[in-house]
Amino acid sequence: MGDLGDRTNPSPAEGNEPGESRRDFLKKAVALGLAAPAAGALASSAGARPNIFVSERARPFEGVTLQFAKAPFGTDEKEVIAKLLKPFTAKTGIKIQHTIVPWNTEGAAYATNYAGPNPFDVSYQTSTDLTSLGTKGVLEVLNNKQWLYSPQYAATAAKFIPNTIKKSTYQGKLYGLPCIIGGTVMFYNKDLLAKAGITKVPTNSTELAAAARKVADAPDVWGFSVPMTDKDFTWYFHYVNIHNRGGDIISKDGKRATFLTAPVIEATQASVDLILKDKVQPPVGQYDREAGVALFKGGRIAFLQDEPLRLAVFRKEGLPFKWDFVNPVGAPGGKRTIFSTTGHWVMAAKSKNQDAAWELVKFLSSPAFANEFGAHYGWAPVRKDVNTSKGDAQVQRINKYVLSGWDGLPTGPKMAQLASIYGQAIEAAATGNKSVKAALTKAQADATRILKS
Amino acid sequence: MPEPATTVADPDGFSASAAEFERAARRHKLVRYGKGLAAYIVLAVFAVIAIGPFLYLLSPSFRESFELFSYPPQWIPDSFYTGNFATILNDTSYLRWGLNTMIFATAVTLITLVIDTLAGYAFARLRFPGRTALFVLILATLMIPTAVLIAPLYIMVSNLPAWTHSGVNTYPAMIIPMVASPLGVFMMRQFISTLPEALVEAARLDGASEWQIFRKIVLPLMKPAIVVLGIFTFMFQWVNFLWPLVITTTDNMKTLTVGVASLQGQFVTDWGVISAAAVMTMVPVIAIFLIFQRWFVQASMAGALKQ
Amino acid sequence: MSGVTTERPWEELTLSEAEYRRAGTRYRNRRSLRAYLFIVPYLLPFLAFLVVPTVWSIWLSFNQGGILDTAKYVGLDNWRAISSDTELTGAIKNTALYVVEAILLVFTLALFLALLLNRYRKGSNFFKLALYVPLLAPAVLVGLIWQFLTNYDFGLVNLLLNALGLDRLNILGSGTLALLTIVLAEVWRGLGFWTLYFLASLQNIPEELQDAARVDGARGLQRFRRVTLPLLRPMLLFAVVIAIIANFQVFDTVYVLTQGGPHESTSTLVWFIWKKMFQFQETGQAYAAAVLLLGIILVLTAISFWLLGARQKRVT
Repeated sequence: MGDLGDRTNPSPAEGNEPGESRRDFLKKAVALGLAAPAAGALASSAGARPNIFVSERARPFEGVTLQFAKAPFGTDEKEVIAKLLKPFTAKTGIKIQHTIVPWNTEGAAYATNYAGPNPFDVSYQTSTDLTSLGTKGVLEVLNNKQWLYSPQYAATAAKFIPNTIKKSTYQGKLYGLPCIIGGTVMFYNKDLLAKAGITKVPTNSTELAAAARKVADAPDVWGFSVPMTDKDFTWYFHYVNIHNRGGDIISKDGKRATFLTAPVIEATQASVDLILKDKVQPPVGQYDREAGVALFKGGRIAFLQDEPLRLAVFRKEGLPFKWDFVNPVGAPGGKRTIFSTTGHWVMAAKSKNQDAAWELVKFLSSPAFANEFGAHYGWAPVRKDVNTSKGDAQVQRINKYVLSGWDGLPTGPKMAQLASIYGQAIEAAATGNKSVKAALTKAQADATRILKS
Repeated sequence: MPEPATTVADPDGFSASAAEFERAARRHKLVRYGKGLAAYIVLAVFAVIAIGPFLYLLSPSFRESFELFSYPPQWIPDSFYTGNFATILNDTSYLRWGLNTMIFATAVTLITLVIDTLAGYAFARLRFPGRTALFVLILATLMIPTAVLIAPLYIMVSNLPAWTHSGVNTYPAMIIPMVASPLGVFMMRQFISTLPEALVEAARLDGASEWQIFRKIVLPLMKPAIVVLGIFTFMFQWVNFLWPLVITTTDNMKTLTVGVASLQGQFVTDWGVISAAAVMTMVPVIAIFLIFQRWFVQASMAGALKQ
Repeated sequence: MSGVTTERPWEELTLSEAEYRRAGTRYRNRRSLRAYLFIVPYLLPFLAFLVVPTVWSIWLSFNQGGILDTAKYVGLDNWRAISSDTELTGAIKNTALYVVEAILLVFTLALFLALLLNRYRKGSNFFKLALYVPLLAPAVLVGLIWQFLTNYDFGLVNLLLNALGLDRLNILGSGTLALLTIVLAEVWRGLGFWTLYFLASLQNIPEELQDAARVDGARGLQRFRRVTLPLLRPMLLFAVVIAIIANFQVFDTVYVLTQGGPHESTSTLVWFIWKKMFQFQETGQAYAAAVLLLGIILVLTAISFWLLGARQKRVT
């Protein structure tokens, strides 16, 4: 820096004009000598970070690197997150080491990583994993004065949609900040509907069955498609039907399994009928989830229930028919809700950089990150100040559906198992392997055993 | 051809006439050729069954993903789309993953060869207390699946002190736990025990030390087995998935199988890229396989022999 | 050595009894020490990275937790829990069924191909190599291939059925067919290895025996049953043991292709362990199941040795 001063400072021998007193000149020289390095510093810092002018004041977490892990929503997630985290690193000095954890192995990856001495400082956990990891003590509890309810953050904390925080709390402890909620929507092929003479989009399962029957001309055209195997998380797509009938698979106090209650039985029977009785849906196993979406894109399915992030794909690739979407059908005479699990940002209890980690978690929840991130993957926000629609009418509609009728998965360390048990029951009943009653009886027995252990 | 005279009851001769004999011989030849042809057809069918599916998978790697599930499905692409391969090479750390896998597999192979031959020789030809018990223990550990040992192993390795340079995301941590495979010791022992005892005994009588016996006599004779074990180990570690998955978190330390797995998004899987990536992982292995095939094919059979 | 060498006739020992014994012991100790030196390079990683985790795993089966949190001793609770788990009994059945089908199929095919390759040597190298290629593929590739093969719309199997005018099959949606797919996938992978193995064993049998039998008028099948098979028995024992051990641990293909479905009909033992451990964090039960697996394999190995090994003495 001093060199710049030398270079910009005209040598006294040359700049010595006749008539200028030596003192005046010295004053000028000193002023220049001080100004030049400062100018040089500004110039170099401007060159390094062209968009942000940072003064020489030290950043609060300079030199800290955080380990951040997430299973990817899309194949471009590494770039998306890197871009969105740049201003965060610039402002706080925290460097982020982002690890992509493949979905099909995230259980193993997290279970081992959190067992070691240097776990991921911040990671993303679904609601099914949140409590099973949290109750083992490896996740930092967040709903206390130290983090979520600290005085500085209280105002922001109030902006979270209360149901999301409530649904993520287990036995009074919140192990992670909810960051996204989603849901499923029902895409439909307008051309196929028009051809079959259907004028009204179905609003409940009876209407859906009727409409699907009109359209279906199997095996070329199917009326309805939804993932049906436990491998494809079928429970995730069918849970909404239980909620629509006012029930759940576990009691409110989380102590009893309720598979043999009327809502669950009716919901499952309605789903199974579409395959076995009405035959408007492909048999289980014939097409997995990806194949189902591909069939819809090929114009062979009238109604497709899947997640909103297909929206981006359909729009980018352009489908060869007119299409639209609507929220999943309700129960006849019942409610019309939307179901999804929540995603959470969690902090490791053993992390050595908890303050820095909390800064990251706060940033990830803030509009600065969540707006873009949510919009990119079609997630609805969990905070009133986050807007993931960016003016997009279709996304706004999805968000409206989600925010108006969202009901999520009950929390508990055994919920992953219970949900899988329900998935197995659906699979068994829908393949005709067992009757609905028998499948649910087995589910009830398995679930009771698991809740006891 | 004129038939010779009546068949004379010649006790030392054939009971059929020369012409009948010739006809029989021709029939026999036809049957033999027929059998041979059938055999080669069967072998060819199985060869196609073995290799065909890989060629089958070449097609998606040359197509753009969304085209893949078009209906009706086309298996031969109209145009060759090399974008998948370009994506892999440019947008992912594929080459780095390849380097990591090469280092990992080679290191494990070399170390395994050294320690397994030494141990195999000891179990086969040296006597010491606890030999049988130890060998049975080694065999017993074959019966534990890796999935079971992953978690305790990870806890052990991740808690190693820093001066060992063997924490998570380091090459030593990836490599060393994998050299303890029991199958290699088993194989080396079987093979060495087929070598004639006399050779070793003679050398011992001549006063050679065990180490000299091992180096000068046994080792040269074991070349085929060493090549076989080397190739087995290399191939096995090349496709090893579980351990590299948990021991590497940073992108630039992942191995090929782990890296390719991370290319699958949650819902939107780029099937074209995945097929291309999967196919590419096989190229080095096939290359090595072809280079060593002569020794390999001969010697993989020698491992089981008990001469 | 303190050998007392005096002028004695050469027939007599130069050492006393005690000295002789001590010398013997010293010699044996030296010999053992040398042997241990050969083993130590293997033994160290073996003990550290195989034995310790194994013992730890067995201990964990009697505890709750222990990986993420501190272990809590619960005695036989985990064992009780898994004994009433219907998925475990299903997994044992599925695995047993799979092992039987897979071993029978692969051994039959491998023996048959080995016999062919033994007889028709020309160009056999190419076939050996071709058969071996599937073994080189990583699990994800095997999964992709078989997913494509069994696809309802454009899978090769269904295309063939269509061409023959038959109904298409929903392969991965049927319990039996899905398990069969796993069997076929693993047989496809292992065929090369076993073919080469049996080929080696066959080539170990002296030609003269075969020729003698042929001259004596024995036909192909007779020759095989009476001459070849008995001589193959020791090799078969090794093969069966290794095959049982390996196949009871089948996991990769299940994990990539079916994830235990449909309705748990392809849930194998290691898949069950994996699910309990990493999807549901039930470490205690998972390790109990792992120890159970170890026990089953040990028992089956012992049985194999008893059935196939004992008679080894009679056949020379």
